[in-house]
Amino acid sequence: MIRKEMSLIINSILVPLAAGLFIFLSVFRALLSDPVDVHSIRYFTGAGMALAGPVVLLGIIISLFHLGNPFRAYRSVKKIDTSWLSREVFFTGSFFGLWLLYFIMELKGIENFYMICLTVLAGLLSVVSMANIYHSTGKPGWSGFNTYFGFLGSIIILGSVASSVIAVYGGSESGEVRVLLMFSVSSAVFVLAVRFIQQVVLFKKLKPDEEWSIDSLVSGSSLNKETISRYKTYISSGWILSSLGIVCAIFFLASSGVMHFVVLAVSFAFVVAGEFLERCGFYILGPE
Amino acid sequence: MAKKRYVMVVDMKRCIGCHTCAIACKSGNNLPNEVWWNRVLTFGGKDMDTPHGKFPNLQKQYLTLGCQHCDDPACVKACPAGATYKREDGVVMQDYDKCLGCRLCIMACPYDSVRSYNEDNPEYYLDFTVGDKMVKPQQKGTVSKCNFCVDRIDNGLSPNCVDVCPAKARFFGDIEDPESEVYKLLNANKHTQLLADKGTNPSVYFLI
Repeated sequence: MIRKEMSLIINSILVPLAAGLFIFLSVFRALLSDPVDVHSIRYFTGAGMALAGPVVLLGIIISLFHLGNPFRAYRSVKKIDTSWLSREVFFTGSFFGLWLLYFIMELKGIENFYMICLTVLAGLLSVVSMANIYHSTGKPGWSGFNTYFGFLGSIIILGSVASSVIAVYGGSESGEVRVLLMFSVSSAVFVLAVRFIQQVVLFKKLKPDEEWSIDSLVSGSSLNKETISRYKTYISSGWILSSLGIVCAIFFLASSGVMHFVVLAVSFAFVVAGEFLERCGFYILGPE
Repeated sequence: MAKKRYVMVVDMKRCIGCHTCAIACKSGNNLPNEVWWNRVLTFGGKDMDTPHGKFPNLQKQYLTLGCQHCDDPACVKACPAGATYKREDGVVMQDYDKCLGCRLCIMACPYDSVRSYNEDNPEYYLDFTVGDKMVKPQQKGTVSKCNFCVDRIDNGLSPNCVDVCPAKARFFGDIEDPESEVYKLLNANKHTQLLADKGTNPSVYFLI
């Protein structure tokens, strides 16, 4: 199952990463006002927001490999009124299109607040649609709030750490930036805490059918012991890695010394690996 | 005049689990190797022909499973390309020429394994085509499923599985027509639908 869905797994990490990067850095740009650091702030937020486009484009290209007929992909927006996949494709495409417009304006030195807001909205709706594709199937393990916290949580977890990496790489180390980075990465702690509670509840709920029933065979809702055990292993390992990455990032942002880019880059690697494992676990519950 | 709505009725007391319907479906629709649109399940367990009950009072009961042609199909809503659609007469179709192969219909469907995905070019044990000439050839990278033998019903015939059933356990017709056999059967007998609680109102009824 995981190998078959690899392109979707990568897409479901790259799109929230791009959305998170753009959202966090837009907020940073709007909130940071230190006149001493103004050039550095403009530089690192601009560089990070510029990176969001190629990341989402890569996600879109990789997702095409999931299709049996990639050359028919243009048809995928035909049912936007009913299909969450159509909506996802539409909003992800809009996210990229709006980002491109923003980028051209940025290159020309035109600041457009509304364009940034629209891009942020498209990025968010893209990930909400992604979560709804799975949530609407009603499959065990997919139909709860854990699906939303999985996908939307990735925006916060990946976006906060990625924007910190870029801020530190851009050399922005003023106290104001440091506080904001610290605050954004701390928001990921909230996501991880909620995910932990949801996992405990879901792990208790997911049980192999003790008695065979025709209904479970007809619906394919019965999960065997091996699937549940693999699911738990992937989800737990993912959570531990993401938590390690976040704790590591908070620790170094909170320390008074010079912020090391490499340390934050390692934190980022941890959260990417964590989110990857979390997503692998999620797809294990899908139909064979 | 009321709209047509084709339904299938399966008399579970008559079904003898011979799999003739499954074979007729496979050969009539020239389905590739490993592809089955119609399967026969047993109430006793996952393995074929497993009896249920307690020895010595064992019973074998069968359930045939294919696309349920729901009145409110989750697959049609989920399909992003309009490849899965519902005809006026209630038959849920899969257009191979429009299918992207995203397999979202498989995920959205409340019923398991009623669809097949041709990951590669369809392969056949035989080197010649069997079944109805009217049947559209399957394509690589597309999903396929039961279509109530749509080419046959459009020509006034019954689906293959109904025609061949030796126990006369399967019936097909327009439920909106009070003169139809299916209408009369459903009015005169206790019946059920699979996973009715999902709210999709399947068009396959089981007499119990």
